[in-house]
Amino acid sequence: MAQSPPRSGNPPIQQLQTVVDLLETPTLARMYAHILRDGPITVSDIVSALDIPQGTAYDYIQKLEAAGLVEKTQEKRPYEYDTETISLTLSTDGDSQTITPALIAAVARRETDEDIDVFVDRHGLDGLATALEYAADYVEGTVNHRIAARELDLSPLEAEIILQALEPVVTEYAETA
Amino acid sequence: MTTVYIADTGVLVRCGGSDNEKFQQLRRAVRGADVSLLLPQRVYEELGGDSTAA
Repeated sequence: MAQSPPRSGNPPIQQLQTVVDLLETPTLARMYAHILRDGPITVSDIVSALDIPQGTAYDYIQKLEAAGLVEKTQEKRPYEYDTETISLTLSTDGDSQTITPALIAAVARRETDEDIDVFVDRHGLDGLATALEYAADYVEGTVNHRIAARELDLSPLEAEIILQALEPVVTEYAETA
Repeated sequence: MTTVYIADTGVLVRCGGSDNEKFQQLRRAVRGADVSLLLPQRVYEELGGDSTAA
């Protein structure tokens, strides 16, 4: 059995691996986003809220806990879990991209929002992260779909669709920022 | 005097297709108010309309 890591000193590479998994696994991302929003919360509450198999939920919670992305808030059953927000900036060759809870939440929506899913298939997670930045400006009213289309090299229609699809994520995470 | 409402692309994207409840609400509201929505040529083209159509 893996032991729970201490609260501080989470292994950075393991954490990075789990963040990558979060970005590639919409169900795992949904779980993280749900704990972030509603934690502390028990696994059985997560199972009923997200309608995911119990075995999957327990596997995923162990993975998140081992990486230090969630932690038990009480040591007696039923365990409750809560999470700290993450902000991980990756830099490569002068380009940088920050992985935020809002990006994880956007990935989580791939399962339920076809527009986001299609967008990620076409433009990747970097495209999604950039679109999310424009979506924040779009919600504020400082950018319209035509400006975003030009900057993101999309058709205006595609820009409008992804900006609207990301609107709920921006709204939710603006409140918690 | 006739009131003309100009609709931007976002309105129609938000409404979805004609089987979408939001689309039907918009159609009812527009018909109820006895007004028309004007789509500028640019919006028409952005929504996939033929750019050569009159």
